[in-house]
Amino acid sequence: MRLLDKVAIVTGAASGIGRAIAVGFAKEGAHVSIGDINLEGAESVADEIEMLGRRAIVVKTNVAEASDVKRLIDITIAEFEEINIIVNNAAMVGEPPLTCQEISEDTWDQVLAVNLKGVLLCSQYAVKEMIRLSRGGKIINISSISGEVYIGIAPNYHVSKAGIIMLTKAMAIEFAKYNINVNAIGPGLIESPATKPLLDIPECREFAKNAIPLHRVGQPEDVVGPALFLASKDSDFVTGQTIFVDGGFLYSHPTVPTNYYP
Amino acid sequence: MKLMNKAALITGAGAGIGRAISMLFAKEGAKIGVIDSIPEAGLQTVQLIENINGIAKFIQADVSNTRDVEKAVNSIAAEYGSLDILVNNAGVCFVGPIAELTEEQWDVTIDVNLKGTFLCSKYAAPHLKKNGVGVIINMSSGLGLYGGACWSAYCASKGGIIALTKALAVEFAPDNIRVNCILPGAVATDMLLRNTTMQAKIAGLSGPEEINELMKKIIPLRRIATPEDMAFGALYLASDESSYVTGIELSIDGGYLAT
Repeated sequence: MRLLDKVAIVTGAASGIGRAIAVGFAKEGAHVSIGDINLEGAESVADEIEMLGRRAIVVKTNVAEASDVKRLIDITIAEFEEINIIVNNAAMVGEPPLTCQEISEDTWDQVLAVNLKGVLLCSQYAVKEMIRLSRGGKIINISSISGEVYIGIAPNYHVSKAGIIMLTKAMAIEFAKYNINVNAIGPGLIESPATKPLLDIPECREFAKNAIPLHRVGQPEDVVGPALFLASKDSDFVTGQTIFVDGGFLYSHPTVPTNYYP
Repeated sequence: MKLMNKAALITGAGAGIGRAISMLFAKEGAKIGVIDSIPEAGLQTVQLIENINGIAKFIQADVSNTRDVEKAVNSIAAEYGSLDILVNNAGVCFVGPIAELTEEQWDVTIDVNLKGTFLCSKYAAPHLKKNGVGVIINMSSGLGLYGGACWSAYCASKGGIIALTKALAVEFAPDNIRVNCILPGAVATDMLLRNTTMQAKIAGLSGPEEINELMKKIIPLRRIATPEDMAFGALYLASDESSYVTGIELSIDGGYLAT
């Protein structure tokens, strides 16, 4: 097992990609602390992890609130005595309207607070413990292809995910001397509660499939492998990177009609 | 005029983007060394420049041939007394699935597009150094950054040009030779027409017009570029307005790379 008895915090693990990573880590031997605002979903993931014979706790956490984050870290330390890995996955898209002309200041602030400041806060508090214990650590931030290219989701969402790519580099340099690796994953279109409204429209699903060279929509499990790599010692010399997991979408602008991939 | 009395050597100047750059640079006061492998094409560009009272001289050269390049560079520098600007624009493209791409097509693509850029830069550099300020502009492509099905050799050559641009930018910086590249998107040229005709055939579409319509839908500015769009970018990189700019990729693509 690649993460035997490691302690991992996964935020936003009640559903989607976070859930898949939490369960995937447990299958490789990790104990998991789940920080989420959705307690019901988080509890069911914790149950699933305990069925695998690993320990799991749930802490109700809004990652945009420093007091919540501090509590998540304190309870995790009280329960498991250390933190080896933190996956900053919690994120939101925000309320429409979602154009630069119409977006409200509140929506802008809210999405940036959860998606970007949340990554900073969780990392700040987790790193304190990692440094105190002097055993290094792994920070994995979930960005997105929307941090690299504009695909019309919402300006604040794109900006938050682009910010994560740079924050990952900043933290990677700063934390290197503590032997803490900081990397990001940039998922493409992944089947999850967040993308369900889009993928429920048959035309959208078909269009998306055709625009993705591997010709399918990703599953949350597709993100688990890269996350495991970044959480394990296999990636000990990797830091500051963003790994895109997108079926080839990002670097495959359709130069021939999108329905043609040989 | 932004390029008064500058001597500029432009490869592939007999058509398309190379011709547009030659014309614009001539209008801005530069003396042009028109390099092309096809004499009729190159001489026609010279005629067009002379029609607007510009100065131009044609030299036939295959940019992938060392002796051709050395001769072309030295004779243009001798003709104008100096060489200030090099535009590595000559390029070829074969569109097709990799299974059908021949080794010879691969070699020609890499030789002309990539080795040609290397050779011209190598022989031009000693001249570019002389006045304490010099400019090299390389033509890469959006396809140097992202993959296009059926464009493998072209993609490889253009990606190589981006890396070569950065390498030369660093190496030549102490000599104040700035090296940058342009990443054109779809530009209305004879080469584009040949490529889209082939693409349409491969994709089973009616013809290049159908590909053009599809491209317009995915380009944010909703149009195919003109060669002049590229020439204005080259003018910026050739002029003193960009005197602190080196090693960059300038995308001129209607916003395509932002999507």
